Amino acid sequence: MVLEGSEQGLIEGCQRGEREAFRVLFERHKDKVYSIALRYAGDGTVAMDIAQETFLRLFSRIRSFRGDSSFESWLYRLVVNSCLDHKRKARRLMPLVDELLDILQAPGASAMEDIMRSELNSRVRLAVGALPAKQRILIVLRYTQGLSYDQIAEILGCSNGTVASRLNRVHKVLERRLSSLVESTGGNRV
Amino acid sequence: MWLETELVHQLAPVTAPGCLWNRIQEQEVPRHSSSFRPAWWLVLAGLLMTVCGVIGWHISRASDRAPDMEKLAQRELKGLASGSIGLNLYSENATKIRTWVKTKANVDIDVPIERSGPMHGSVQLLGASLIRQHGLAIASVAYRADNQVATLLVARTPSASSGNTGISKHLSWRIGSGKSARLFSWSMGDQVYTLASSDTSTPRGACILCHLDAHGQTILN
Repeated sequence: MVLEGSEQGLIEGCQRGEREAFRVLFERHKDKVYSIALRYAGDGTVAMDIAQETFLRLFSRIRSFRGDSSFESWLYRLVVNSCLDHKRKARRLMPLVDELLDILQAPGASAMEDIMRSELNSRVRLAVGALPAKQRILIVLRYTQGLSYDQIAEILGCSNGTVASRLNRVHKVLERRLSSLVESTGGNRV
Repeated sequence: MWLETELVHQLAPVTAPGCLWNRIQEQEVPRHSSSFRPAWWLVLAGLLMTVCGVIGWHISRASDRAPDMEKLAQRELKGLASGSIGLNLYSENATKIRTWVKTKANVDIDVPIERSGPMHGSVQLLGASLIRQHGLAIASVAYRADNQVATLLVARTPSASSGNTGISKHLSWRIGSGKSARLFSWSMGDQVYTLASSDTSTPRGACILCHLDAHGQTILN
């Protein structure tokens, strides 16, 4: 039985079909997988579907994992593929409304500032959500997981230069889309 | 720079819901998950649609044969009555006709035509012809019943006729009428039959080819 241990030991346990190894591996990586899914999809329900699909793929394919690349890269590739495979669902607007209501009802808060903050938050998320799938996953890997260009390049199977140029392009798109909002707040982000 | 700071803030990692493990457990881990599964379903769906299409096409073709046979039977009957068309085989011998039809059209005349003949008075066999239509071999047996000319067309087909169908020994049948003929179509086994009689008042005259006993009484068999 595997309760604690190295990643390699856990992987070997999973490859032998030990259920406890699956559980420990899941606990170690669930937040990472779910975070990528949520930030990619922008919806909790869709994120759950993607995370579930990712772990099912992981458990069913772990016998084929030979350690040619790091386990983490392999896992990232699984979650990236699950994200890209998943049909994009309509973004939910209700959380934004709830958020605004909470702010307006909060005692002692500067309602206008909080509304502006909320507006910026939602605009950023919407701008990210409006990106094409491959650009969106790039942004998520970079800013949700804080991965380096090298790591992203390995996961996506491209060169560092390609990652850099794509990120640069995405930054420009986002800056253009969000510039009006920044200007309207007087250049001072709240 | 502000954008990167904002993205780090907005896209920060979160904690996975506690129910995620339960959801995965419900899926019977490990299962064979494959991105090819939808493709297999597509292939299966495609095959199913193709099979249904082919079957439907065959049924449609088979269904269409009854009206075709009826038109053909009417033309045959008109030609026989006027003497404008001849027969490939002139014979009053039922066995000879049965053999000839089997050889030429691979059709089994399994109606009891042995009962017909000069000895039965009201039914007289005239002979048979082979007709080809849309690649289908159709046997035409000409006879005279109650002094009215009639013809029986038989073809091998996998399905029954269409129209006002009913269930009997004939399995499925339809009654129709042309300008100068009474029509009766049915299917038995893998053969379809169309009978045309110049007696438009009643189909009895045509039906006695099969449904007449040795004493000249109409029978149901």
